[in-house]
Amino acid sequence: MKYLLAIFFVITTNSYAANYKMNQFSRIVVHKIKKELAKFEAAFKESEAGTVILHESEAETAFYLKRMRLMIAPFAAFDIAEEFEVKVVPLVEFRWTRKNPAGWINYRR
Amino acid sequence: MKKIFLISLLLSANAFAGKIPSSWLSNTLDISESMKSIQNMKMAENAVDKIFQAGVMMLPENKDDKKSKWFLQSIMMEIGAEKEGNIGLLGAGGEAAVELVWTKAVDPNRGKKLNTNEEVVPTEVKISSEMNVSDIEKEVKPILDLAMASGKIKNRQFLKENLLKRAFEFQKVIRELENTPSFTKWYVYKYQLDLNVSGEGHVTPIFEVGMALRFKMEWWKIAKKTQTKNWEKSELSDNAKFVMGIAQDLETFEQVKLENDFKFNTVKIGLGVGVEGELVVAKGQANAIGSIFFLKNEKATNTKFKMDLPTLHQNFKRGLVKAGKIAQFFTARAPNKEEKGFKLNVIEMEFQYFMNGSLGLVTVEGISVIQLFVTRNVII
Repeated sequence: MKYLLAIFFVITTNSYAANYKMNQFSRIVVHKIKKELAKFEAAFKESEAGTVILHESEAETAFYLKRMRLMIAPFAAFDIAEEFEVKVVPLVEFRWTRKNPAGWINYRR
Repeated sequence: MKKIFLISLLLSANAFAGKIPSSWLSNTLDISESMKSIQNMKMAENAVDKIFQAGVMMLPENKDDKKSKWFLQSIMMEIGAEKEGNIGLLGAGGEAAVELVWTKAVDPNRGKKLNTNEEVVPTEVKISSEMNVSDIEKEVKPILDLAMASGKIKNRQFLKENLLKRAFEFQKVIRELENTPSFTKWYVYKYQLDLNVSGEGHVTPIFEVGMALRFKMEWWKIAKKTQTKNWEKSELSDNAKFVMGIAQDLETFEQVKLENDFKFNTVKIGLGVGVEGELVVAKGQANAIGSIFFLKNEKATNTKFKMDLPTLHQNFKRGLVKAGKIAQFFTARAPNKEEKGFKLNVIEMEFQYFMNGSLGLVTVEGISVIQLFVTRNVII
């Protein structure tokens, strides 16, 4: 199983002029997120692959729970540039991707 | 075990840019006339050009900290549309008509760092002819454990019961479709279950701002390395024929030629269940049980199929032609070069599915059940 952690930001702004703040905000937000996510990182690290049930049948194709994604909003929106009403609402995505079972490949037409 | 941390940005802004023909948003079957009008197209081109320019302007400079585990991977932007045709960057809330995704080229140094020390843990696989809810619980254990650890859910038992019940029911539906064959370039490659969870543990397919958690579970189609069995027509259920019929309808997109190296290669359709338990296109998020994803293999050849397959609706193919013209418009105007280390590689168009079978870009207050993806070198 491969693990991925992706973080999404939702930003609302009423002005294109807020652009000049963009470079600063990403560093600020990442710093805040790192602190918040410490508790999740530990649980994410410890998460096991789980057991998958493969349907026993004569069919030579199957549907397999290969990927799971969990999106969390770790904290509420906060202002980056008040004068331009820029808000950031971070969303964090945790992603698990499983290897195919032995003897099986991704279906391709 | 080392994890990989990526950062993506979703940018939204309440900014009106201009107007597209309102026929693109309605149940009108054919938009050819609106696309012939010089005034219409000029307004639409100006609006979309402004949006793309704004997107490029809002891209942050590429200043990754090479020592950090995290780096910016992609940026998304949403375009909203009102039924009168006004479009602009979408602020928080409302359905997006179009989503633009700029992806970052992998930094060779970062790419190497991503691949080192990553352990792939083998999954325990149990073979069974039956499945029950406790089996589903084993499958989704990692995602459920982390959801519980988030501290966002007050009623954990309620969440667990609701989530497992929905996953079990959805898996029963798609199990029936396991041996559905593919005869066209378009084929089913995965089913997705999207669920949103409130702090009280209520589970619903509807997303609202303020939801605590969002789950996406994807069942991908896999095949045995060596296949010997020949497919039998008598094995096809009505639901299997429903799925094959959609794949056949999607062949309509062969007429669509896109510019700037974009390919029309992925379609997502929301699924619901009809009064007699048959699969149907979902009427909205509330009655959606999940989604089906079709992928196009350009190199596949169509196989002749001697059986009448149902079409989604008599006018659905005309709706697809309309959607194809809208996709041609956006891709023709899309920025084609790398900007600040990012390139616009995915355009997702969200459509309403009307009673007359036609498609229209979803408005901010509408409900999207069909999404079309045009991509450059990306699989969704």
